[in-house]
Amino acid sequence: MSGDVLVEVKDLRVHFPVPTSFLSREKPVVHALNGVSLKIGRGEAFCLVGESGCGKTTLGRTIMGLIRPTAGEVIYDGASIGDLVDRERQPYRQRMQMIFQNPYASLNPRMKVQQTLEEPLRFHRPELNDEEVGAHTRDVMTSVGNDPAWGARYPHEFSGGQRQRISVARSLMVDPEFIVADEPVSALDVSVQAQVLNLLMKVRAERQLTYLFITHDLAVVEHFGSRVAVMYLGTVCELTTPKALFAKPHHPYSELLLSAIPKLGRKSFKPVKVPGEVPSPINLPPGCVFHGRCPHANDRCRAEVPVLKDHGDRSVACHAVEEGRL
Amino acid sequence: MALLEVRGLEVEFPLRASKLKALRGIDFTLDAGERLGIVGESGAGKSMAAYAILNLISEPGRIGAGEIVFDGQVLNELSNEEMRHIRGNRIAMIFQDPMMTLNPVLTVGTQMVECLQAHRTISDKDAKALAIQKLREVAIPSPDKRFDAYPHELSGGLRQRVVIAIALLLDPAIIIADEPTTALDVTIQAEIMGLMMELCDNHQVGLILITHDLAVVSDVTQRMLVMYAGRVVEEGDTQEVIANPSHPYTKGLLQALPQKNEAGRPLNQIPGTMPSLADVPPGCAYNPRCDHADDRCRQELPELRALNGGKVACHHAEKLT
Repeated sequence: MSGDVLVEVKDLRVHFPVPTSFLSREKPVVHALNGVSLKIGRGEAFCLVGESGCGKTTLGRTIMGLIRPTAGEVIYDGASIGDLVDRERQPYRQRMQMIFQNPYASLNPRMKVQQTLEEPLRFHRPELNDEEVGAHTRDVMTSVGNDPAWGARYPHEFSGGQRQRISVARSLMVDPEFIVADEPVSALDVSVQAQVLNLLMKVRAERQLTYLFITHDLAVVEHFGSRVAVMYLGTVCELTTPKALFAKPHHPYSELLLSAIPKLGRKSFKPVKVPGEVPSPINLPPGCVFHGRCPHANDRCRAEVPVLKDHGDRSVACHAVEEGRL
Repeated sequence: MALLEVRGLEVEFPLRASKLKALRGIDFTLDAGERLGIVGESGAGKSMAAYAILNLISEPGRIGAGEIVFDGQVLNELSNEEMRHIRGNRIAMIFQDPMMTLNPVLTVGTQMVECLQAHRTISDKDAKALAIQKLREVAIPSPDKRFDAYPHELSGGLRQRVVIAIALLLDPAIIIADEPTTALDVTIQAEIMGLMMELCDNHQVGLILITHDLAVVSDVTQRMLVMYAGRVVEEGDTQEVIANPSHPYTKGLLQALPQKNEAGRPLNQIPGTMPSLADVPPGCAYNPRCDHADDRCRQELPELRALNGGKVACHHAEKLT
């Protein structure tokens, strides 16, 4: 990473209480994030990958302030924003916006597209009059390649790809500098997915945006990302550039994940055999969270939690890599 | 002769004044033990084809024309009663979401025994033994314990394994899998796909895999169909189609994949979207999105015809390869 840091999280932990009977003594918690530290530079397209339940969405939402961290810090442009109350957070809400996975659920079906687009602008910039709001909406819609006349229609009149382009337009209405995109193309068909990815790349270049791009699709990461963090059970296990990751994954989990991706046109498909399943985030295993499934685990892995350490062109959280056993 | 042969299949839904054709004449065959992939975007009609084979199209939809011949029987002429002996018994189906397929208030074992006893005369004890054996075959750890588990007690991957075990219970000749791993993570997808390939090989079961994921089709199947707006636009050997697609739509789909593009460059995109089935353009349905479309494409529907060992429905396919 180069240039100045826009977003930084330090040892971020998010635990959710599990509802139990009031008689029970145990107060179990879901360990959604277990000490995540990373920096996102200005202008980056930072990707988070991992399987369901690994905490990638929780991390995105915590940075956005939609979830309060249990411990640790979220630093945005030099200021700690993890603990801000709503009123103090307002100026940041304008600078950071979010695009959600499902464009069918994230647009209000009872609001015309125009109203949906105007709402954030009228809230954050009350000084604008109707004419200015209308002009700005038209500008943004045109810049993302949408017909401004769509404004008079309701979301159900649009296809999935068009709706996602409307979501992109909404996120750009208040001229943000940082966008969290949570699986923005997962719900779309291949040909439409390309249209939306191209749009996201185009607006990033035009507006010098910084992205936190959450996805499970590694092909998209390879194409789109400037850096990538692989997550497993609430921890980052490898952090590097997509190129380095795809050339040779270092962490055993990254290796497993990459080997599982279906590929076009390979001669034979030998599926990976991985022992076991992802453990429950309620009772985390001691030591490295991956040790139960890792072929290289030893006693140290079972006892001591590995931390991210620099290792050439990447950071890896693995005792075996650190000790040179891999 | 092929195990399953679909000829000129049309599925239609009557509207007030007209008919909506969800399938507009498709043909394909499946041999015993063969793995066939059907790809296409949402609304292309790939699931409709699967439902039509099993006579599962919901009212008021119906098969308007064509024949489905399985093992010498014309399936679309069978009564409901006769069809019940085919469904689940000779042709099994696996759906996308294992939570929706399994009954949440019955244990895994109850559902498996019920399925066995619906088709065969078999004692409770033998049925249980057979069910546990099938659970073991799909690599479920401690199968005798899982036999008494409820679906919610299992993870998504295990649930889909249970669904596969149920599909295999009666040794079907064909399994139709409709997006079987779309709801699962990639590592689990790899395991489930590996398992299905192994089981289909071992038992000589024909597999029809319906998916939107070209990479999965490439890894798993031997032959593939590409569907667009209710028709088959290309058919052929999977690796051949992926390496040398003949139809402009297949080409467009493959080139839109991030894997096929240089990192950081804009992706090749297909302009526009698939037409609504109520409003399919005349001629080739793909013509409004196609760079090569001319007047003939706008008027005359291209038939699926043989070309370079595969089949393609495009007037200009020779010029494009």
